[in-house]
Amino acid sequence: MELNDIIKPENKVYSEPKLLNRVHMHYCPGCSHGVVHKLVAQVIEEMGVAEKTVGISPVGCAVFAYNYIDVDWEEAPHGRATALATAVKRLWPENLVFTYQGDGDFSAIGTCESIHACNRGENIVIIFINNAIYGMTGGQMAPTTLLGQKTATCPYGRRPDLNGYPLAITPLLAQLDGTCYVTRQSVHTPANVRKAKAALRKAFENSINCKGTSVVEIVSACNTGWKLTPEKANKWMEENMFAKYPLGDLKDLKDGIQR
Amino acid sequence: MIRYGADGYFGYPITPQSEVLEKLEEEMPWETTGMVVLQAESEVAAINMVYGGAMTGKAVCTSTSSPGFSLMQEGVSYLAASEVPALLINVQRGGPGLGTIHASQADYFQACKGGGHGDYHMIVLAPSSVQEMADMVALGFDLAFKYRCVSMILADGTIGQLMEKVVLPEQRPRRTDDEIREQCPWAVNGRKGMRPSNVVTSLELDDDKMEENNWRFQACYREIEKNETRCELIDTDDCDYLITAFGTTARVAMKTMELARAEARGRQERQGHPVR
Repeated sequence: MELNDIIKPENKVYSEPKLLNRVHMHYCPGCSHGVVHKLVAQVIEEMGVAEKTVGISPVGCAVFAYNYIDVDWEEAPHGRATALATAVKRLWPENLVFTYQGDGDFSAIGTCESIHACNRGENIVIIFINNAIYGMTGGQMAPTTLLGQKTATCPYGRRPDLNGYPLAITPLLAQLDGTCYVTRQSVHTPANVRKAKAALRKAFENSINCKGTSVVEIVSACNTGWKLTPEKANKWMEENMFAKYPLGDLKDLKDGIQR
Repeated sequence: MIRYGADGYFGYPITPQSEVLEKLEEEMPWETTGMVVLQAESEVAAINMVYGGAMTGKAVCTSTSSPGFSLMQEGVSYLAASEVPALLINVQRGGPGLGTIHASQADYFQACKGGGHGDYHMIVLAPSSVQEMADMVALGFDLAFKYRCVSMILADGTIGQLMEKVVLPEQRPRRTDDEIREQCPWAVNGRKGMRPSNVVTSLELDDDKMEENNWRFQACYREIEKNETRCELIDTDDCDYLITAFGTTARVAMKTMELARAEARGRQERQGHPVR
């Protein structure tokens, strides 16, 4: 049997998303960003909305997201992505507007903008990558760093008396009247990847249909920052991260928020 | 702003200019011209909303007073680095610190030298009357779009609180989305017709390219200096002394000149010199 006989459109179950640029990503092997980027590209392509999509990239490892996903992008100052997204969506209400932010960007320096955008019920999607560490600057403590977890700025492990407690911001956001969909996903197994993709699709549809703010947290591995192999990082994430940040939907208002 | 056909205003209350946001909310321009008005959670959020909106090619603005403008400086630097047009208004009050709520011109250097990090400048327009304040909205926006840079109106608390007769400009229509796409091909608002994607960023890790960017910014500022330097000259033809001033101080200076000339005229008459 020839290769062309096997690879036919009717047999095809997967192909590279056209909206994912053919460039080398700067992400470390084992990092979750690449998988999430691919899912974002896939979902935008499947929905056929690239013509009206605006992404807002953060400061952090994903600052160069605009080099990888072939849609229009704004690059935000550190933590301010949801403020930018607020204006874009209000000025272009038919657009799909999403931010892509890490835990430092979203839940430390940007906490004020994050909470208020959600509270106003801005019709945007927030993709929140929680890997419990500052990846880009070299592995410092994040608000989401677990107790006992060692980082460059808590080298003996995070202590509550010195550093306070890990911040689970997503449940806070689920309590706000402005959020319509708040979910926590991961992309470390094929099954989780599929679930995460479905969550992104739902969130993106919410933005286009102006149903309120959608927050998709992806509990992610940073094997470099955690100083583990990719495989061990996934295992550490399952054993430690999921205990503090359990996966699943926290809120899902089918008809959107009340206005 | 409404009459200019602005697309969005994002602000945060601070004395002595909260009336701008209050009046815009009262006018509800979203019902008439379609202009967006939003009270942000802070000046930091407000300037970043302006930044987000400006990158899409829309005509967006904010207003604040001195401490609020200090908070905005990071965003102003990003706006300048990204070469996107926006109009900012600082109705100055006295500082430093929380300072006073009364008028001041103490933010002169912050306005004229840049204000935030990095080497950038803004177009700075300084009104000395309510009429000029009204006229400079259109001028500021037009210059910002012409040069793809940040324009600011540097007012002061006295001008901000003054009541004077004013002739308001004609209502201009807001540009349509298609007009914006045509006028601002660089703007980030979705790949209509699947055009190549647009990215607006202030980040450039290649040192040589960053240097190129800075040369381009400086060339733009020199061009603006050459074409757009403005001042009103009053009785300068025969002057022995030249007083320069802006804002409220300009009004004081004008009166001072008037009194000085009257006094000089009286002296000349007494001494039998010809009066000019």
